[in-house]
Amino acid sequence: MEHFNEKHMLLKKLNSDWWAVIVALFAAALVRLHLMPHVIW
Amino acid sequence: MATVAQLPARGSGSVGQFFALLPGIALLAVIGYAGKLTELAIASFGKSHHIALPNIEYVLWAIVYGLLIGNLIGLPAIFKPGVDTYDFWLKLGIVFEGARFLLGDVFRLGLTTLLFTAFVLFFSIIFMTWCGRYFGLSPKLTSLLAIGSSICGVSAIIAAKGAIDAEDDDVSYAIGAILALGAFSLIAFPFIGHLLHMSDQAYGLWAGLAVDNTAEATAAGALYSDVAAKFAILAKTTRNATIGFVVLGYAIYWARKSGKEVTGDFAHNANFLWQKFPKFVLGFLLLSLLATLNVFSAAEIKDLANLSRWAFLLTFAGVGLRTNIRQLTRQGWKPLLVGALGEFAIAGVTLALILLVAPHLNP
Repeated sequence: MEHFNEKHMLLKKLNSDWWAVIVALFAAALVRLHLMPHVIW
Repeated sequence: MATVAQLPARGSGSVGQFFALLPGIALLAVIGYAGKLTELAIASFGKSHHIALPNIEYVLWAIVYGLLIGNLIGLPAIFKPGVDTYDFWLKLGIVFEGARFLLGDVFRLGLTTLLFTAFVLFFSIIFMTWCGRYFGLSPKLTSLLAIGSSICGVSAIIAAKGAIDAEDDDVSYAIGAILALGAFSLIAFPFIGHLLHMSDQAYGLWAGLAVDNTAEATAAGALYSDVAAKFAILAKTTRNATIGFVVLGYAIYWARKSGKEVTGDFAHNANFLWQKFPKFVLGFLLLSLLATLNVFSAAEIKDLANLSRWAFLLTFAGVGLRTNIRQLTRQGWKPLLVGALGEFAIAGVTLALILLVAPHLNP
């Protein structure tokens, strides 16, 4: 049950939340400035 | 129980922690890409042999490969830190998805979702409380199941744990039940959606409203169609945004019940709400705002949508890898049964609402 330590989980959650925003905005800026090649799927 | 966050050992430094993530992330990429290759290979086989094969999305293959590896072979410790980042890739994919929505649509559909969420929450609390009493579950376990099934699965249960001072075992049972039912919904939802010939938008909103965990809700949407995934993400993200209010409500209820003094301090409550608010929603709204202001061209929006797909590819591999079937079956049948009854009831009520309202929603 140590995995469910609330403080540990919330800290991680907050971090990954903000990291997701930062990385996405950075990638969006690269796309907008044409510094990233076209992303194919 | 599914594997939940394990950060690299302390003391190894930021660089060491970063490198510790790489093997697991590489594994997510390999499994996810294998899923994509399988989808392409089946489609290509059908085309070259002139056979009409059903299009099984990479989502399902990635989850199945992850399940097989995680449950038959097991996950070596070296991969665990990286595999636990699936949550990050999910949030990253959701933020990118913001670029596919105009802000007006976000608020219009978000408002509809909020109204549905309020109704589902009200229904869920009454139904779960009755079921919990009937089957003799502890009141706090019942509260956790109601929170988990009405708002957003594991995150909501973890957030509520401290707020209502729940027992560890109750938390474990509630998370196990929600994860087991989330896995089941990946099969049941697309099946029902196809059976009822639901539109992409109606199905997506239904999956986003009724499937508990964000990763499973996204996967359930993607299993139906790309457009359905888009609407499932919007509905689920709106639901997630209400987590703070629900947990705060339960915290006040349990504090009152146990005779503790409840502070009505606005600043204290606002701080609590901010703490529990999923911050990646702000990124989603920001990209949606930029798209609405025509900051991105159509080709750039396509690039961002493709980045979102790659991020989800890693997420779905993680969903399979972290689902430990053996541990899910060990949790006891009562919480699972109460959770299942609640889920079926919520899914049914939400489906009825969506079918009622869907004809009036603009595509």
